[in-house]
Amino acid sequence: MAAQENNVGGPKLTFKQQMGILLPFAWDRILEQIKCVWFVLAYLMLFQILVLGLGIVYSLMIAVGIAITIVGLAFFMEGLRLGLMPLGEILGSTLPRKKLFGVIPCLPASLAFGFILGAFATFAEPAIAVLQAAGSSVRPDQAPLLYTLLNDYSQTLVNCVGAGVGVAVLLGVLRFYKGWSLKPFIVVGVVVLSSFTIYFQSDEILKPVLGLAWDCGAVTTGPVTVPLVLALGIGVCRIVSTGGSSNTGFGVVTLASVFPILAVMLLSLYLKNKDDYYGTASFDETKGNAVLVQYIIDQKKDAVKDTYDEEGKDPLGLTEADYKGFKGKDEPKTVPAAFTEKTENEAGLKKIQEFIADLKGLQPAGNDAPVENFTPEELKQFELDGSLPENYEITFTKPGEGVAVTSAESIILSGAKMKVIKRGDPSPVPPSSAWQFSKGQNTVAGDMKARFSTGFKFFPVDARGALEGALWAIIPLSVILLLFLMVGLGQKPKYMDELVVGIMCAMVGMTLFGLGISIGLTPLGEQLGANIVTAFQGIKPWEFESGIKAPLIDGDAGKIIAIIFAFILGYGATLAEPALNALGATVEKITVGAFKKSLLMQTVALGVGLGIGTGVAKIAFGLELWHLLIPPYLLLIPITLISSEDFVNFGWDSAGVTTGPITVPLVLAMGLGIGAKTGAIDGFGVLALASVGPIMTVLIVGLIVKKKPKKAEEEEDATQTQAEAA
Amino acid sequence: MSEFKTTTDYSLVSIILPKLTGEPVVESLSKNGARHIIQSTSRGSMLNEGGGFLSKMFPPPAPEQELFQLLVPSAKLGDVMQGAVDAGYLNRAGSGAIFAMPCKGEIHHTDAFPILSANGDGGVAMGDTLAADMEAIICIVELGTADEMASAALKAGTSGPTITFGEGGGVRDKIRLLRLTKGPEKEIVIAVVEKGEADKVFAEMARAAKITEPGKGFMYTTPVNRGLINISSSFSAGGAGASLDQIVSTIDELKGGKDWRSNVPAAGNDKSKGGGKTPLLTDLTELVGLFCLVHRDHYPAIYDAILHAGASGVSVVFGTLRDPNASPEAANEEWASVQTSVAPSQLEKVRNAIQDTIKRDGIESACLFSHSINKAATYIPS
Repeated sequence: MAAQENNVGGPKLTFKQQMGILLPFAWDRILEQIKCVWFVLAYLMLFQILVLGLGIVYSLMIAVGIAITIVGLAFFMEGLRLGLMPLGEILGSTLPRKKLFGVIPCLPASLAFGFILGAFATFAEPAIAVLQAAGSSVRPDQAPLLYTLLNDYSQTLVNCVGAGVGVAVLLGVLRFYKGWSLKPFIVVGVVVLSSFTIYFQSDEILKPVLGLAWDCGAVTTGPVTVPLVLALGIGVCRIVSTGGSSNTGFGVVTLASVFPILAVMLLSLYLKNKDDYYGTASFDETKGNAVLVQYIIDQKKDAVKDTYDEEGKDPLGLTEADYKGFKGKDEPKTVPAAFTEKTENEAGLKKIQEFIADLKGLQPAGNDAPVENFTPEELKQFELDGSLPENYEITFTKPGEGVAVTSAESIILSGAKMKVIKRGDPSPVPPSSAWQFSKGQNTVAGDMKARFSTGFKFFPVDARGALEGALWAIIPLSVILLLFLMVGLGQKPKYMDELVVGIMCAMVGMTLFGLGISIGLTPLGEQLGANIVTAFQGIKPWEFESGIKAPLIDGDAGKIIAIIFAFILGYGATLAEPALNALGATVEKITVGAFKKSLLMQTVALGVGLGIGTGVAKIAFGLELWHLLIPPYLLLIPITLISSEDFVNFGWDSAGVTTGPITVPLVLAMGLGIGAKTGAIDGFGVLALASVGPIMTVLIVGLIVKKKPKKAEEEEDATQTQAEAA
Repeated sequence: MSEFKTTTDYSLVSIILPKLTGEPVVESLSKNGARHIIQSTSRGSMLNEGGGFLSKMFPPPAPEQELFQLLVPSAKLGDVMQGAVDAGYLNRAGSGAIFAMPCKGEIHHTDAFPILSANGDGGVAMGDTLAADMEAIICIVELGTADEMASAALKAGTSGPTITFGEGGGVRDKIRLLRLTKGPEKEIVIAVVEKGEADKVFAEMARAAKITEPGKGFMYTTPVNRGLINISSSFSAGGAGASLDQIVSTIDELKGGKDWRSNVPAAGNDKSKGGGKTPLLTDLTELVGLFCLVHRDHYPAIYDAILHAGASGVSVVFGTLRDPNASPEAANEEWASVQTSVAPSQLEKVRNAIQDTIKRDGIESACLFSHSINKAATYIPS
């Protein structure tokens, strides 16, 4: 029984022995992630292939991307377990005990730290790119304030959101110290937000901002922030809590989801009062119409723009006089008539037709052959969903040769140009041989290469690459935490090497899964998102050059299919989220195994599925966001009040952890795809609804499984016994 | 300055209560003079009646409990235990448990350790409500194993074991790679059974945990000289007039004993593996369990000292100190109970190593005590 190894160094393991330990362990972890992720992937692929009947475009690239994502997730979760969460917990349990630098008392130091952590986490994991994607189809003249917030004032927006999260974490830490229940915060928060929402709803300018504001709350806390904040809360509560389940360390994530909403709403109120947004007098005048021009230029696909630039033509086909209208400061500020669709004159109409044809990637046929223009109504229909009017057909001609080609391969290889010709017999759907995949130069390898390099980007640009994003997200936070811990509080962690390995694993993991998501999950989501519309409407499938697929079931019944699809997608994607995994594991640890991880994960996934289904219904049927959002939140107030404190804590926190790096690409693409075809202004709202769902389900499950506390029963018995004895 | 004092004739009293019901009991304990109560969170276990797919997807939560432990001199044992029973209504079915494990040999503690002293008048004689002749089965196993062991124990007829989290290690701490690949977290299962059933329950739990395979953990039994176990052992649907435990205990009273119980098949018994072989438990007898209570900050030093001194394994359970004298705003003090099981010949050496570490690091407040181990089971390399 005595130990063979008495020496400190321990037995030296041969390389083979080391691998013997390491490999099964690594395989176990990867298998764990596969278990989380397989459902949503299988579902997406099977749905596209079997139900929609379309092949998967870029399938090789997507398969590679998925494999990378799984490995990345395994590394990331390991990094959380080994490094980030222990670090957060040590820090949390030391802050209330030791004075910062030996001087600053514990409470103010903890609060200050909380604010710094919250604010910094927002900059480290910027969700603004997600929001800009959701708002990419917003037109400045339709929703001026929203457009301004997303584009000109995006940095201010991020700052406000960061401040909001900082205040939230600060309040969360204060709540632990004081032992306050979370319920009052929730009730006050929901009431304030609801009243703001109703006010915003009534104002034309402020109304579009609602979607942005609510989604801001949903996207702030990311896969690095949530585990850190949770671990911090648990550490603090171990020391500070006076017993009772009101202080188990949860609740900060809830606040971090509520305060940004408030911050965005306040910012928009402020800008509105100052009249400082697109289209108003106080808005920077030189920017005014140039904003609209820029918007239109952004809408153009780069290939078309490049072609024009090569030939020396103005990208917009405008004349000097047109530009004069909005380039100079002193010239009269008018938007060229060509850009308003109210124009009556023929020249203007032709310009619009050409311009819109460019947008669709069709080359105007030029002088070779007669081209019939669409009538304005047909044009509008084409613009809306890409469907050809009845008596038009598409043919392909090799450039300069005027010879028709029909086989798909030679179409792609020769870069044949597409023409729209009117003809005698009606045949709206071209034969499938006329369907063409995306632009000739994009082979799978080429696309993979392009996305790989975007994925790995290493210099600061708007959309950060995976490597850069991971570095920014993890290193600064870890450094701050370590500095605070070792320098400020003078506490050295027991196993430093584990922490460092953990942080490096988290970084490698985040890089890999960010990369894998951009190569694998995003294209999959985009195509599913665009193609899901074929469930209820005939459109041109994603990345197909031409051709329209007939809808599964036309109209509303088809939309139901889309909604069911969205529900299952939300359920599956949520099960794969790393932050939810971390939350479930933390809940299991805090309750010493009484609440199993799977209970929380299944319940939350169900709730998110319901929320996303509702979100898609909102987009498909054009419902009002606030009709769908406010009633559930108001209903949650009484449910929260009767629920037990610990379920309130887990439940509201689960709202913050959902919408993460896996769900967002899939869901957003779907929302935008459906929105583009049904004419919705923007893709906002789905994420906010996806956050309400899990709160509902967790609280309801909590009410179902919790029994009446034994204490109450015994007190009743005791008084009864005493009464009898008396 | 940490000089060690020794004293004898103590017991470790453990009280298991449902969550949030501990206050009256803590008050009664402090009235009897206790100043060093360590409180840990734990969970109970239950047989899920009528499982099915829905309960696998949404596993119902286990009952949440709190575990209180304190050292009590024999002279005061009656007072303390009876007081706790009264304050916590522990004689009611489903209300919790209280039991005392006698410490073997001497208790060594530093001056500053607030141990409950034996001074003062002899206390109330122990009432008949507290049964004698029981054994506590304590197991230290990997995460995830505890539930299986608890099911095995329940099916063998005991009331639900209590499970808490702790850390443990031995060989793993010396190999860095093992440390990274497998965390130190362990689950610690505590079940108190009547002496007659102890062997059977021990064997069942050992089989469920496959404890004789390498790396599966360590389990042992230790005598309990007084105890009252009234933990609920089944999950009753809310709203029932009386819980299953109340019904069962009423029948116990009517029938005058527990013998009738063996006639009733335990729920879910049909699914038990009939063909499983009982592991060959080489009885490891005459081990001694050595425990050291220190502040959580110091536990790494004690942990390492124990391993250096030659023990093959060590585990830790964390808890919060409940000092009724402390002000409510004071930060919670976290304490650790570092435990190891050694052969009697090693006992002196390990204890000295711990005491040296305590002196060397200037640890103000610490306490060492030991329990005798009746039987133990673990992987024994052949």
